[in-house]
Amino acid sequence: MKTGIFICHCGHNIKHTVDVKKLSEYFKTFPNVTVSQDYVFVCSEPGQDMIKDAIEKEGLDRVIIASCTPSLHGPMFKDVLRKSNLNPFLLRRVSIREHCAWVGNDVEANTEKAKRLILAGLYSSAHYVPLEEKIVDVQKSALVVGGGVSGLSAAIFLSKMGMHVYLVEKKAELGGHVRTLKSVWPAGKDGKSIVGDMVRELEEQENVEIFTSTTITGLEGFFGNYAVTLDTPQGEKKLTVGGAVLAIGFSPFDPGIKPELHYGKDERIITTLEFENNSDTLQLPEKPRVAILHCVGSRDEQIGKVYCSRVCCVNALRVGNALKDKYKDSYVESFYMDVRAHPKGGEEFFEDTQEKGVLFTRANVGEIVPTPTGVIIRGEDTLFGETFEREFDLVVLSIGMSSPEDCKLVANTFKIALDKDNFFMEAHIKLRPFDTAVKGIFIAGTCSGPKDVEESINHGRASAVKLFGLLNLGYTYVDPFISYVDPKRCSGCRMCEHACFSNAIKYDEEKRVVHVEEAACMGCGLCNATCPSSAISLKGYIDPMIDDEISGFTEAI
Amino acid sequence: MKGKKLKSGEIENALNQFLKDEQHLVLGFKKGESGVSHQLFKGALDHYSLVNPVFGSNAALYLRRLFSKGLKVMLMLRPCEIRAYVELVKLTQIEREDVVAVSIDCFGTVSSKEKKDDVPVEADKLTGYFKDKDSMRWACSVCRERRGVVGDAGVRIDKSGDFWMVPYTEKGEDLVSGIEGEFEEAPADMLIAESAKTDKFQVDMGTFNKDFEKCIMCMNCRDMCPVCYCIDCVFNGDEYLPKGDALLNKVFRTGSTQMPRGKDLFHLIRMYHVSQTCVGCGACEEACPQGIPLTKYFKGVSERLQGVFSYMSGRSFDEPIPYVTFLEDELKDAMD
Repeated sequence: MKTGIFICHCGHNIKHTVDVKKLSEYFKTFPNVTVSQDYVFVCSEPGQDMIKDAIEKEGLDRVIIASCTPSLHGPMFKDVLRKSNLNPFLLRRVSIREHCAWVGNDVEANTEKAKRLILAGLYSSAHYVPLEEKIVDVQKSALVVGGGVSGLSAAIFLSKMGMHVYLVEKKAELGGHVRTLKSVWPAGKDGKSIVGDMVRELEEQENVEIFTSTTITGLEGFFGNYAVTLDTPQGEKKLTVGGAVLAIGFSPFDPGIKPELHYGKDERIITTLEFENNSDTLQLPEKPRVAILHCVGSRDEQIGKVYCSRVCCVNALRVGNALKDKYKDSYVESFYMDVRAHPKGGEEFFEDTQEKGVLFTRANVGEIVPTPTGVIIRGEDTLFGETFEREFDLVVLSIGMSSPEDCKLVANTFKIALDKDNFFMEAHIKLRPFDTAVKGIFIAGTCSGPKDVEESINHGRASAVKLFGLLNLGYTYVDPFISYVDPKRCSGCRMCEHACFSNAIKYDEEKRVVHVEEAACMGCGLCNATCPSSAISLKGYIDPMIDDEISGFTEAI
Repeated sequence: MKGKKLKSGEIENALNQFLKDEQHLVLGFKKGESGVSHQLFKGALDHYSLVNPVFGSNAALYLRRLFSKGLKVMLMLRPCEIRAYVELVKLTQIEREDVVAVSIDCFGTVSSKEKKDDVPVEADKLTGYFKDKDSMRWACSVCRERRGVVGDAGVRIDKSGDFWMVPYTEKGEDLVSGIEGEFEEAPADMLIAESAKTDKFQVDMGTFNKDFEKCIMCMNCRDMCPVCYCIDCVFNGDEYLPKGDALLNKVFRTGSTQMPRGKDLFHLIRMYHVSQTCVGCGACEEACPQGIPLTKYFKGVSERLQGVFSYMSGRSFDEPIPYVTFLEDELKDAMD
């Protein structure tokens, strides 16, 4: 066996706290290690060439790259092996950056740990065998779940790029929450017309099918070929799509959860959404006294919602601004924790509102008590450290965003994760904010966390671009990690058949053993764990490999 | 429960009738010169014994991979043996079509290792002999089911010493119908009563290492276990127990080691494999040349595990084995 070990400095990142020279020298002493080298950036072009050269000149049959986490640069390094005519599954990645260099500053300890990690990789890679990847066609069609602004913008982009789009909306009408907004800040445009324009743009496309009043009841398959079952008013419908964008939006926070606010018990206590919709018909005295409460349902540990909903500050400012415009002599007081008017023009809008005479009081509001003469707000002024009690004619609660009501159902159907606030979890919050952990399933808009209209539209487009990139390639590799049965060891007890989620295991009545249907196997390994005699193994993850890997970590060196 | 009261010698008559067919066999007990042992009868019974108070092995062991077409086997065995048979049927190791399983009320057994000459073989005398639970094997003294209520039919003994045959399945109905006599309501109160709720014994895994220190890895416990059914055990290969060069390589890399290696692993893996189907018969302990109290651990762990899933191995053909079913709301208390 000829193994090549390439140890990356990652510039300063690894070299700083791991003695890479010592590592490369150490592994030179191993009999089955032909090349042991360290290099400043193995992922760079010269670094890749170094690996290629070593494979060709030394005839390497195993390549170990000790560098960053395997999920980074994985496909790229596999390609390096492919180009050198070496099976890409003879590559072993060892994470000595995230698992080592970034963990602590003790160079000696880090080097020792890196040595162990590489050793484990060396031992386990001895069991590697060349595996064949299957190439399967990708359906050039996409499912968009949710017909709000993010879903619409995703659907418009995908359809314009030539993908067949199925847009599914639970409600009878497209448009989501934006449809209900009278004026969308800062342009002041009517929500209905914004949505209307988008729907028209979408309907002009030929390759779009829109299903309203429809829910998704089932999803099977994998990237490129998802089989979707819809429950439409016309009955069940089955689709095949390559991937999906989930844009199921949010639920407005229900202030009724907080009894001290008395929301829903008195009509003088309303939410920003209700104010927006009914501002023309509100019955207010000539000089109305109005209180606006920020952060209702956001940044509140008591109800388990510590996140900022991002849109409610501007909403609160809009309420104050509108009131001052309509009633010049009104008394409008905003109770805030701090004002986060972060979108473009937000800070100016805040100053404008202050100039118009809206008072801002930094306060913790304890309770809202409706009385016949007015609504009393009791709380603490946190700048002066004094308690206060004031009477108002109207109280507007600036409510935040909660996770969508179907979040668990959709997450289960698409097998994606939820974050601690029940919004959909991104694959990586910074690097892959539109991806989920499932290939071909993207998230867009407020279902991954609070966003304003502009951000939601952009998010929808971005997810669509990402999905288009995957679909347009037309094919995908299917991992060759599938189970296989050693018929000599199989006792035919059929335990694995019960464990298999994808019905990939079939029992042969004649031979009294099972076999795996390769096309259906997902490579999850559940059958491996169930088999008492280890008659089923996963290609590329056999037991002795794991056993030897553990030896690498534990044995005396 | 309806059954038939059996006249003296009626069981033997019925079995002999069954054996007249050349394709038929009976697995039961034979009174030999030096005690009672398992016997696979062909043609006719010979020194047949309904009960066997001496436990050597669990006969379900001999039935593994019984897939014969045409040959029919009647099992006249102890409840623990029939329960193991039921488990093996669920694991598709036995073709149920060809087997009629009859469980016989069990009075308890003594170990074949300390075979006592004074053990009677007549049912009426055994009650007295086993009055004191200490006189039977420990596995029997804590047995949860010594009544013949499992399988296709059962042979029950009522308080006046009369024998009854009670069917539990369609196949059992056919069997009992062929026996002389009329169906009548069997008394609810039989000689072997439902086990009084024995205290759940806690297994002290702290003593595990000490007890298993004696193990010599002969693997008799595995070979004699009726529900340890693998054709090729993982411990046969080099993966867990390397031998020769593979062993030297391993030790060369990992450092000095106690021999034989992997005792704990062997027993723990076996415990994991059989704990859901273990019938607590104690055949493993019977087979152990080192006198390791295996039943204590295997029965203790499996009883608790089966309790978690409200499962009892061998109780019913229709109850699925817990590991192969997944319910979303199970094991809530196990989370703590």
